[in-house]
Amino acid sequence: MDWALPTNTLRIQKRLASSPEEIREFYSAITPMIDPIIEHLNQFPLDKMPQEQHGLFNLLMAIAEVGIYAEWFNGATEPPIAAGLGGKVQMRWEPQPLAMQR
Amino acid sequence: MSASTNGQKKWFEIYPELSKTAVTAEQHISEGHFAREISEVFRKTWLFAGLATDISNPGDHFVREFKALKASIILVRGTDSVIRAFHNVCRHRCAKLLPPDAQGCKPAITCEFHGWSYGLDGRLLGVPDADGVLQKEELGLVPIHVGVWNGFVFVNLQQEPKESFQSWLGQMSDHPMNKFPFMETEWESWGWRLEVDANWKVVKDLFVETYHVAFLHRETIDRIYTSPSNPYHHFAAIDFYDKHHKGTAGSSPPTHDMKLGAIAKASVKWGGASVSRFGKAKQAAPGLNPNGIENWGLDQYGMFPNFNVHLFGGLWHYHLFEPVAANRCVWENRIFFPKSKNAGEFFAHAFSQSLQVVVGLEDLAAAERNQAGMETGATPNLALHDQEIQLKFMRKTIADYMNA
Repeated sequence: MDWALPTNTLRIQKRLASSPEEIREFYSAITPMIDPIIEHLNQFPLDKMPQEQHGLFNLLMAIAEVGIYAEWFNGATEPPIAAGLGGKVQMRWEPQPLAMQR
Repeated sequence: MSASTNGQKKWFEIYPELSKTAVTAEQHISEGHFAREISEVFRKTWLFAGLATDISNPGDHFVREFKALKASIILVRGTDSVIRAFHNVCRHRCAKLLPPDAQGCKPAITCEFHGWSYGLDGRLLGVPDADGVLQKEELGLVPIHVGVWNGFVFVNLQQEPKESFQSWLGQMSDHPMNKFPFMETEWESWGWRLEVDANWKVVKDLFVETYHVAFLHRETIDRIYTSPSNPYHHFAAIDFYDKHHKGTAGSSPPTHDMKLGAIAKASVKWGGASVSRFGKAKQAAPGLNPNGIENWGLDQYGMFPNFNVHLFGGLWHYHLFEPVAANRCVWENRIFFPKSKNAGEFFAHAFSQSLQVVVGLEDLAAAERNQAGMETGATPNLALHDQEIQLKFMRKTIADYMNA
C-alpha cells in the first residue's frame, strides 16, 4: 500500500499530494482495523520490530498523521483556516524506532 | 511582582503600570523598530539555542543560526563534557565551517576550504601545509558565552555580556518548575520549523494568550478544552518573573461531547498516561502546577525573548521564535513524550504531534493575517484585552532593554 512510508516528512508530503477522497478512502480502509493492528504490533518490542511488520507499522504511522484531517476536516489536506501553510512545515526531529534497528 | 490569581479584579487593576504600556502596530511593522530590537535586545540578552540532551556525548554538536543577527553558532560537547559555543566561522578566511542544519558527532571540526581543523574546545589543531608564520594558538574558534538551565542551552552574543546569565534568569533560577524531569526522563520528540510572514512578537503572542482559543481553534482544540464554566479560556493564574512570565490554564473534566473520531479515540485508548489531550487523566510529575490550581491543565512559560516552554501532564513542548525581518519569523516547535513502550503508545504520540502541527498552523495563519492587518496602517494602536496582559509585559520588557 502506498501509504506505508518510513518518515514523517514523506507522510506529510503524501498527505499534501492526496485528494480529500484519497484521504477518506485510506481512513475508511484502516480505521475499522485500528485496534487489531495495534494489538498485533504491541506483541513486538518497539525497538526490535520484525522486518515483516515494518509495512504495517508505517501504515499505522500514516493513519496517525492523517487521521485528524479525515475526522475533523473531511479529508482536507490542510487545516481549512491555514490553507497554503502546511507545505512549508519542515520536520527537523522525529523518533524513528525502525531505522534504529538497521 | 507576583499576584498569581486575580479573584474578582482585572489584571490591569492589579498591574496598572502594564495597562499604560502602549502596544502599537509600528512596533511590529517598522524596520527601524525591528533593527533596534535586534541591536538592543537580541544582541544583548540570552537566546535559547537548543537542548543539552541533543549533545550528550563528547563531539556531539549542532548548528544554530539567527538570520536577523547574521549569527551562525556551533554548540558542541567537549571531551571534558562541557558545552561550548563558537562562531561557525573559520579563523583563516572566515568561511563558514558547518552547514546551517548540521547535527551529529565529530572528533574535530574541519574547514572544507583549506582543511584547517579545530578541537572540540575550539583550539586550532591543524593547518595543512603550515607556513610557520601563522600563530596557531591565537587562531582558535571565536567563543560565545553559554548558559544552561534545565538542559536548555542559551547563548549571549556580546563579547562580554553586560547581563549575566543568572541575572537574566532572575526568579526562574530557583522556580519550582525546575523540578520537572526535563533531563531525567527519556523523552521522544518530534519537531519542525516553519517560516511565516509575521513579526516575531506577533507569532509569540499566539503562544502566550489563550483568549483566541474559543474562536481561532473552534474546529480543533476548543472542542477539547472548552468548559461551560470557562468558555473563553481565562487563565487560572498569571505570574511575572522579572523578564519572564507564565499563564496557567485550568482543565475542567469535559462534560460535553468532544466529537472525537475513531482514530482520536484510539490515541486515547492506547496512549497510556502520556497523552493528556482529550481530558484524559494527567500524569503527575514534579514541577507542574506551582500555583496548586484545582483541575490544573497547563503551565505556559514565556522566557524572554525567544523561547516558550509549555508543560502539560504527560507531555511538554518548547517554542523558539527566530526573528528574520520585521515581517518574517521562524517558528520552531518541538513536542516531547515519555519514550514509548510499544507501538500503541508510539501511535498515540504520532497522532498527538500531528494535532500539534494542525493547531500550530492555525496559529501561524492567524499571525500572518494579524501582520497583514497591521501593515495596512488602518490603526496605530492595538486594543489588548485584560487576558492579554502578558503581551503588554513583553512589550514593556523590550522597551526596558531599548531604554537601558
